[in-house]
Amino acid sequence: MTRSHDMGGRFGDGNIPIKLKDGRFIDDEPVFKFEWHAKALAVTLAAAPVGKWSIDKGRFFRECLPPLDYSRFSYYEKWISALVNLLVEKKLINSEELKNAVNEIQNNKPYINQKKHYHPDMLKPEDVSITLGRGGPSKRADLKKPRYKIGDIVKTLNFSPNKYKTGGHTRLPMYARGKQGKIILHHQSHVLPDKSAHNLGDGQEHLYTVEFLSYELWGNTNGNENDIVCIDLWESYLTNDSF
Amino acid sequence: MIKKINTKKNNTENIHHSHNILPEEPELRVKALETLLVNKGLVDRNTLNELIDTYENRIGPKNGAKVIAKAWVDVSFKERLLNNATKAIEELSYTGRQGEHMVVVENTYEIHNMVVCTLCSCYPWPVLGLPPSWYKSDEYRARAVREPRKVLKEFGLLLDEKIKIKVWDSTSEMRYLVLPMRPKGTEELTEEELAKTVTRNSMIGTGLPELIND
Repeated sequence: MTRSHDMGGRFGDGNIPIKLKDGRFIDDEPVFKFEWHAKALAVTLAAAPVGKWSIDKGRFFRECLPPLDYSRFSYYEKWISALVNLLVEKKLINSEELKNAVNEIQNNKPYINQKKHYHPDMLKPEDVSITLGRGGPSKRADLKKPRYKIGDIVKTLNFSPNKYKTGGHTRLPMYARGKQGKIILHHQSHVLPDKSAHNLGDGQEHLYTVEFLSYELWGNTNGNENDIVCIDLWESYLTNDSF
Repeated sequence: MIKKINTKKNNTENIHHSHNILPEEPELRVKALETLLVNKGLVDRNTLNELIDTYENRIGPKNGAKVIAKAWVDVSFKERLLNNATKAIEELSYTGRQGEHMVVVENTYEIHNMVVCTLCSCYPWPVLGLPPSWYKSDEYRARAVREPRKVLKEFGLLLDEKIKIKVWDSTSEMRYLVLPMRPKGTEELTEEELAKTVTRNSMIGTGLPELIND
């Protein structure tokens, strides 16, 4: 099975929420619609060096929001809620402190810490630019020779590839399970999200882009003869046993 | 005898409900968390301002437009861009978070590329900035892979039936940028003028470059 975030191909969603004028797209959206959006992004990015969770773990915590919450929350509400859960799990904050913080704000007297102890890994303003510029590359040294090469026909697993944890993180979308495709790009070895999300190390594997025909994914009634979907997939998500 | 089961200990999903301690209103939720983290010395308020300023004012689709315009006028840059996008884009210093591993996919008369992330909202930040809300919407994430032609039509983009659509679902840390075709009648334009025709949507694949008639 899967979780709420895995929505590729799902039925029921309406028109894309955009504005058109005289048939032309109007691009007038500010970067941050509300101040709290900006704050939600900034707090999440600033907390990462202190919490030291991997990007995969961060994603997993968003996916793990209860399905009802995942569906009704806007983008940054998902971010901020998953961040609370990550911080609690890391024991960097606790529920008592959260409750107190809310009380203080609601009574309009946020308490200000006079004698401040900074966490040694707190992101300093002068380090923002260099930290963002460095990013967090996921490419790693090859541990094994690649099993596949460009042009190979492969099939994806028909169940969640995460064999390390039930209900664990994976990047094989539900709509592309048990499907046949062709390898079109080989990106060498990258951190395996299925391990990295669960503190199981990098577990790097060869990463490929696999193209799938529209027919293969959606059948004859929904698919068409022209279109293609390309998906990045790790080696353990793929098999060629049945060929 | 009925054994008492400690559901808290047994249900590993419980940790994922901690956010309910905070009030529903997102504004208050963010403010409470920000106050707590600043007070505990886990984040610095000036750092927050610096991060906001970076994504509000310094990093955005103008970066990507410069990459595209350069590829249109400089054949050898275009070759480098298609062979190793990460390295080529580094020449223009657009590096880092959410753009660590770049791939540029070229539109032709036969193929139209468009990018989505069905599992979250992966997007090439250093060249395009933060994603617009439609890119993060359930509607786009759910429908782009199944009915790309209908989705493009909603954007006002009608493609010939014969043109093959390639949808790139960003499931890994590879980030995709579409290299649109240079619009006709732009032979006289400078690189800078060309960059102004490159819309954000044309680099995601949900639009085309637009000539400004003024």
